Amino acid sequence: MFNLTSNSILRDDMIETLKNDKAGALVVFEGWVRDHNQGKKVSSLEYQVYEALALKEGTKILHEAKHKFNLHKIICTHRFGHLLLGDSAVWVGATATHRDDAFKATRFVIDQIKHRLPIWKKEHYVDEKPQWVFCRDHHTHVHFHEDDYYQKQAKVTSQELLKKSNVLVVGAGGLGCPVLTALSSAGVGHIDVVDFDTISISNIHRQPLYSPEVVGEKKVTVAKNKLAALNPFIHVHGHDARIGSENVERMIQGKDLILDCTDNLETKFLLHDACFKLRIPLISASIYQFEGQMRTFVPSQGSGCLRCTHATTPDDSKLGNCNDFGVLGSVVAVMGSIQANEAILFLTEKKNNTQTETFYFNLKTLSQMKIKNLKKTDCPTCEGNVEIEADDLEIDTSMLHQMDAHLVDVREMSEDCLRAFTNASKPVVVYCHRGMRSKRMVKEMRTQGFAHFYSLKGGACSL
Amino acid sequence: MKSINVQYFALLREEAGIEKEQISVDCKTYGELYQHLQSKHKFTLPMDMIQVAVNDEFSLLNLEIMDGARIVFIPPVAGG
Repeated sequence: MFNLTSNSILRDDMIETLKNDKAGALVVFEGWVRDHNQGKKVSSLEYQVYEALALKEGTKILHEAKHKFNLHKIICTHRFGHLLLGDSAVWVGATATHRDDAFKATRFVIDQIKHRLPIWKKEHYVDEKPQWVFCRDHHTHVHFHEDDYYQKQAKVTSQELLKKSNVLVVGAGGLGCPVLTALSSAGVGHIDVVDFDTISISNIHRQPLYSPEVVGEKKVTVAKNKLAALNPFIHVHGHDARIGSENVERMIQGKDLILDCTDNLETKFLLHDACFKLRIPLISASIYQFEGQMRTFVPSQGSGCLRCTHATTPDDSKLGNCNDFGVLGSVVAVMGSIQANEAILFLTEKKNNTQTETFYFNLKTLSQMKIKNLKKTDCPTCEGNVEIEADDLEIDTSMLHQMDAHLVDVREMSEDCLRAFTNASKPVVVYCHRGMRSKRMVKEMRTQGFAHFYSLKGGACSL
Repeated sequence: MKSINVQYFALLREEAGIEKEQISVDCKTYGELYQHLQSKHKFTLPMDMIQVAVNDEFSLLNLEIMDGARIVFIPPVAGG
């Protein structure tokens, strides 16, 4: 029940319509007319409303809240016309069996009203001419100036160049969180982030964009919303995908810089090869316990590439990942911040510290080392002669649903468990936690001549 | 030529100096119509801050104008 009124809101009547013996909680939000805004003394407010559309949109918002949360009832009344100090401008009330739903729903409704309802506010001031209050940015409706946001960094960087920049961050995990936070708040104008993972409780200690209440949600979705709220003056786009040979070129195309915040060599090499093919700069960082390494690749600069030293992609199984060797939030925060700082320097000055030398940091001993990169003469990758090999080892969940296959969970199984399926009459789709180990196992079966094995892209996370 | 009704709210109403007008235009899209009205009424809000409603439903600026439509250009809102 959504209403518009030019009369005072009658709180008692509103509460009366919400009464219900099954409800254990009533949460009410009331918006008041206050006497100041942005340093000006406010004397009264005037609300103008596009009634037909506001009623439709307001009703829609309440329906959405009922759908999203477990409520008994939710109602809202918005005032229009001339309001005086202390008047109640908007009243939202939600009842639910438990308080959490009522709190969340009330918050949701008032936030949506602010964004979507065609209602406009004119502030009348004590000493100045009245003014329509517009939100400077229609994404967030904040009443702040962009210049003020960046005030304290104006002397150390070029805001204009950052705003024009268009970067892709691959991975929204341990490194991705500090990188994304730093780039967003610095004002990098267009940030795309790609990740396929869902948030688990064991991520949160080192990935501060997430909290326990969003466990189970997609990292890109939560990260995108957090970053958009952190800096309303930039554009952030999330892509729920895993980087693979089939999408890597499309993902990096047209970007000024790629930031590799992934945690496995296969993806790191794939990104690297694609960046050299399309001549796009890349900053890559990796962590091992208290140590980290970082390198910037600028294909046009001729300071070598990974293929100068590694003709074939090293096998991830020999290395392990964060799950195996352990990782601290403080370490990824430092490394991610350095990576973001290198990115900011590169975007604004075309020069940073990790182009000709790879940096190694050890936070246990607080020491660092720089090693000059090797450039092999006639390295085809350096020249951009790169073949991104199509990978037919994997299928995704939509393909899985269309096929008749054995589905094998290898999370608790040994490496040779697939032997039992060598004579299977149907395709065998194998999955582990995230689809890395299962892919290696499938690759091994393929090299032995068994073509009917596939790995599930994204692993159990994608099911 | 299409005959349409345009209604104004908030700052747009003040800048236009009228609440509504019935006009005939040969613009193709709502975006073009806004640009046309912007130069006519000296609207200060850039188009990327504007949404459009057609017959009391949110619509898109790049859609083609419906003949006889009731059109409202919606400045950034501030409910609450």
